[in-house]
Formats: sequence, C-alpha cells, structure tokens
Amino acid sequence: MRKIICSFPRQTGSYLFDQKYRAGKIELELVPQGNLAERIRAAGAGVGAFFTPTGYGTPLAEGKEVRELDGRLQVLEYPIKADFALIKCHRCDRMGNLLYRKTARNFGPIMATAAETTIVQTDGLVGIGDLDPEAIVTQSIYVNRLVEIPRLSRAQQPAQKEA
Amino acid sequence: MSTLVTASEPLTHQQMAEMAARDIPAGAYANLGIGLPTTISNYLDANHRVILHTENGMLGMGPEAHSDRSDPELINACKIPVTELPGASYFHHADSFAMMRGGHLDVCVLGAYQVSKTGDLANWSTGAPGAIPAVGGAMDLAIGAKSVAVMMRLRTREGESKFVQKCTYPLTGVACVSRIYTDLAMFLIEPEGVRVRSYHGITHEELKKLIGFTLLHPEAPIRP
Repeated sequence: MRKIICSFPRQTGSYLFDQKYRAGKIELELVPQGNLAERIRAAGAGVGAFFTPTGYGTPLAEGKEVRELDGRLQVLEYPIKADFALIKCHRCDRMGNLLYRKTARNFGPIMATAAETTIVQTDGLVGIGDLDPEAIVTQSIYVNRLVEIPRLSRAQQPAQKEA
Repeated sequence: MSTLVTASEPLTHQQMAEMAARDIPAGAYANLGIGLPTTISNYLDANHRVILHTENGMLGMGPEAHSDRSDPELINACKIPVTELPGASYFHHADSFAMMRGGHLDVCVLGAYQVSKTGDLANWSTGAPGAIPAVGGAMDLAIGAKSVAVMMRLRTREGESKFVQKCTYPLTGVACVSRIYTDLAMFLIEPEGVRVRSYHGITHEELKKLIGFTLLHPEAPIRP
C-alpha cells in the first residue's frame, strides 16, 4: 500500500499504518470527513468537481483554488474514484440490492457508487423479491460481487465465493 | 440568558455541561463533539426535546448503551455503543455530513485547543511532531452548524489562556465560534467584540490579564 486517503487514521489497536507513516513509507491525504464523503458521492454521481466552505483557511485547503460563492469563501474539491469498494451490508438479495443495519451503513452506499467493482459482504443473502423495494438503500446496479458471511460464523473466516 | 453572573468558584466540568445544555433551545437538532461536550447530553432532559445527531449516521441518538443491550452496529462517533430513541433514523456519511454542511443542524458544541477572539477555532491538531494527523468531522461542523459553541477549560496545563488573540495551532475553521463555555467564564463572541456573560472564581481584571485582549465592558449594552 502506497497511499491512504482518510479523515481519521487513528484507531485503538491500529499499529501498521502508524509504523509506516512514521517511517515515511506511506503517503497520507488527510481529508475533512464531509469532504471525503462528498468527494466519494461526486465520483459516483459523475460530478467533475465542487466548491465547499469546509476547510477554508485551514492547512487542509492549502494550495487549493478558492472562490467566493454565495458570500462565502469556498474551496475546490475533486471526486475520489476507486477501482474496488469493499462494503458490508445486513441483507442482500441475489441481484445485489442492499439493506444496511443501524450506524453500520457508514460510507457503504456512496462507495458502492464510486467504485469500478463493488464487492459486498452480507450477513444474510435473500431471494429476489424478498426485500421491500421501497426500503432498498443500495441498488443492484452498483454491486458486482457478493460474499455471504453469516454473523454467527464470523470468527471462522470463511473462504470468499462469487455469487 | 444575557444576565451577568459572578460566582466565587470555577465551574466543574459538570456545571459547564449543565450551562451549555440550558442554552440549547428546546427541540433543536444538535451535535455534541467528542470529549467534554459529550457530557452535555446528561443534562438534556425529556422536556428539552433536543434531537442528537451523530456524524457516523444517526439522528435521535439516545444515551450510552449498557453492556447487555450494546450493539456493535449502533455506535456514536467515538465508537461507543449507544441507543436509539423513538423517531430515530439512520443514513450514510454523505447524507450525515450534508446535514452539517447544508446548515441544517441548529447547534454544535465542540472541544478546542484554542479559540481566537474573532471565533477562529483550532481543535484538530497541535502540530506535534510524530503525531498521526486526524481531523474527522470537525471542519464540517465548524462551518456548517447554525450555531457553533466551544466547551473547554480556559487554561492549558501551563496556565496559558486557550482563548487567544490569534490561534497558533492549525485552524479548523475561520470565524465560526460564537460562544465559549469555560471553567472560569462564559464568553459570547459578537461583531462588536467579546462579551463575558458570567465569571466563575475570576474578576474582570484578572480575566483580561489572563487572555491578554480587551473585553467589552461588562455593563456595555447587550446587542438586541
């Protein structure tokens, strides 16, 4: 791994990144979390770039184009696309429609839209038509591969399979 | 709310949280930052009807979950298991941050390393060598919430004021803070200058000496 784009690269128990970062062996692009989310959403929605007040006047906006819009100074931000997204969901049907559970929704829905290939881990695979069409959060058009890992057997590290 | 109060003792963290809680309007949508501000939720009773937002994707966050009810998929931004209140909702990060960035949140209360007299906020980095930089959602809250308050101890361990003429730490946001709750005084940052709403175990003169810049005279007329 050469570079990480992240808003909060600190976690209890995380040591690999810390070591590499301190040794200068990995590049970190630190991004305000809302800019990170919006840049991912922009990538998925085909938006070329956008201006936002977040980060204006801070070191994280240094060197970036600034424009006054709607009476506020705003910073130009570009989309973040990915080759692969690895996403966890709660329920998934065999077409790749996804439901998430509580705060585990996270960046999942937007990363699914921003990646060339979206790989989904699900707690439970269900049949086509079993999910309420009104409730589906991520639509199958964004999903390429499914891996079912039931919650009970999570500790057993099952082999990956393609659906 | 603007009545001048003078108390003989500095406020405890609990008293600061209680004061900040009283200032959150009933029915407001609010985000309470990591650290000291989190304790404000202990003083929001049901009459307040304040709806708490957590940036990892939830409105209607309830109190911390007890271990028997804790759910690893129901956590706050500090990864602490929490509960959901009736009417709660979940959403992804882009929607969650749109609530802040789009100006929908009424109030946020953040911790700080420094605040400047014009409301600049520094709360994500001290620039210490070797530290892993991390920012999270602080910059989005700082520019996005309709009202941004800070809750902090007024002095560093070395006894220096954290309310300063100009921040020396890297900024989180420019001219975004409008009120500061500290153990020694509660400040309002207004277009005319900084007004002290209450003193706690410190006189006006001592406070002026500590922070090193001019405060609006305590008797100066309150802005309508």
